[in-house]
Amino acid sequence: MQLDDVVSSTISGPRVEEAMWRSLRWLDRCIAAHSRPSEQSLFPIVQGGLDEKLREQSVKEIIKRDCPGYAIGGLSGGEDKDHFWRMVTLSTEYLPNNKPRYLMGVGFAIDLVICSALGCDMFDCVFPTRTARFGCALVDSGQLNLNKQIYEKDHRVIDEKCICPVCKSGYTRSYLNTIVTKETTACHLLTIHNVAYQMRLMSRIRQAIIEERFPEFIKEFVAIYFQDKDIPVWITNSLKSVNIEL
Amino acid sequence: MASISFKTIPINNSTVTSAARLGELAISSIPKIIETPAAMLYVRSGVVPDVTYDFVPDNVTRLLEIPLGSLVESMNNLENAESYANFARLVDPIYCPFHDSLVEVRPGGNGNLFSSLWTKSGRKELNIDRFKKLIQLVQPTMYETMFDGDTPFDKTTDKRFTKDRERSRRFLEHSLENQAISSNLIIPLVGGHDKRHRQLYLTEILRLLPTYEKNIFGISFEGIHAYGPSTEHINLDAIKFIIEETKSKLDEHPNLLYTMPLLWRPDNVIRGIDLGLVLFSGAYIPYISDRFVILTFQYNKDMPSTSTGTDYNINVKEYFNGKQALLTNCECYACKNYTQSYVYHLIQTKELLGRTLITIHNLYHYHGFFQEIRKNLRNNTWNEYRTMILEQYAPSQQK
Repeated sequence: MQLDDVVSSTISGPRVEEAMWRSLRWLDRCIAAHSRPSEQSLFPIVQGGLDEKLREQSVKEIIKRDCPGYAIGGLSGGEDKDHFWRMVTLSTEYLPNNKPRYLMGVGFAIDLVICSALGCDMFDCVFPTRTARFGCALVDSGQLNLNKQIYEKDHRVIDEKCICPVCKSGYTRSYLNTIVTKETTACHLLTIHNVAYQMRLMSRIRQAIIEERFPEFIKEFVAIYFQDKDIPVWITNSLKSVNIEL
Repeated sequence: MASISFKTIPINNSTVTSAARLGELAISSIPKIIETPAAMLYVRSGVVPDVTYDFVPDNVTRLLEIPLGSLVESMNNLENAESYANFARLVDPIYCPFHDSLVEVRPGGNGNLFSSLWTKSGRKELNIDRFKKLIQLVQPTMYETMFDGDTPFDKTTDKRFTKDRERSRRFLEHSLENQAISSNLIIPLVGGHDKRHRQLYLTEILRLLPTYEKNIFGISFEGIHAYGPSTEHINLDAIKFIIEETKSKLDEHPNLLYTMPLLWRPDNVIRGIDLGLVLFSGAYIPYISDRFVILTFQYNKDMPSTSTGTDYNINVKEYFNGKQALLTNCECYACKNYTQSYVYHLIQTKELLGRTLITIHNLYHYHGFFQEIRKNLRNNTWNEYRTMILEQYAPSQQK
């Protein structure tokens, strides 16, 4: 990745513009200094905060430099989700179709599904492993906080459909409830499951795309993820922008 | 419960004074015989601290030591499980010692009808019924019956000793009475450091057992120390007499499994084996691994001697650039794949993997040590072997 000047997505004003131009200048210096372009891919990072104009400027400038792939940055902080998705889609609109788009710092399962629909290809996030260390296991309906008393006698595995070694060995929620937050080995076990969950989620997304049923997959996923709760406006809006009606 | 048998193997022992012996522990639920002397695999709440089972080295003896303290808190969860092994997905046999060798036992925690367990979250009282219920829920392959044992050296009155014996015997009787949990018992022998009280207790127990038509399967020497970190430095020579006297009264039972809870530092393992102990707590491994200590003592005469002596602490600045393995030429997963520099880095950044690699190495080293012990006993080279180990730990060698 290029070295960039990152500012928090919750701030606005001249600092955001300064960071955008500085990141661009640094990009050129990175490209000039890069001595192994045939062995390493140097990705630029689109910045611009939550400002449409700045984002557009950033991405238009960046695509003038011919790079092997492009990253979208500055969007994994605590910004409002309805702004977040618009910045993602703005970036993917301009970024070339034949090169990977890497959305940095995303994220939660629902974000991965939505942003895949918005045209992103690569993601990274500390969330699955961090939440594992705190005793939370990932499933399609969200997170199971296995430390809670409700799991004391829950003798089901974390996820029936999961193929990770933890679920396949038959470790139950009831058993994990006795060790999460108490034994470091519990961190290992949940990390294994959560990483497997993320990998399998992406595999399911790819499979749905290949089989041309991605919109149905998204609708099902959203329904399970939010169950009886209201579906947030940003999800409805973002999906509508890619012709998926919930 | 699985049926177990233990038998000692006569060896051509050229040392008349040593009671060291080989043995075989056969458990009906597993195909392989467990050869002794052996160290157990310390497990807390069903997991080895810091490492998942798939990374426990192959040379580790798969007899799990699960202290009751870590199981007491799981009692609610265990209610509908078939057994603890089923609950925690364990396939190996389980021994439940009453106390946790890692945790110091504070005085004054016991009563006429209960004893206290000491856990990370403090004192947990177990009365007779709760103890029996716990054992029935867990269904360990073998377990140590509840006892008092609160008899600190040089501070225990005659009255306290008498109470200790009374309670311990009562607790034992309750386990013997209950058919469901009366097999495969390890009987704790109490009496502190007092010859008379230990003798009295042993006599009482020997008189008691025939009335329940039970044979003694194993014995654990208790009431000698208060567990915890200070037992790493225990002077075994000072308490030799306790074990020797007890064993001399048990001549008619040649196939007894003798054990004693302790943080078994390698030189004390040698002394323990010389006294006839066969099963050793594995708590020494999590104890030192937790403190970032790496075992490097030479347990095989073909191993090169190291510049670090018996062990060293890797959380020290000089290792930030250490390009070699934790221990050069060691064949464990950690040493084959990682450098001192990387492990040092993992500790500084507080990554779990640091503890995992240290634990993997220490388990491999310690159990490799026990393999060599058994080999030397078989090959009649025990004398030279014990000297090789004891020399490394002699005070003049320690930094």
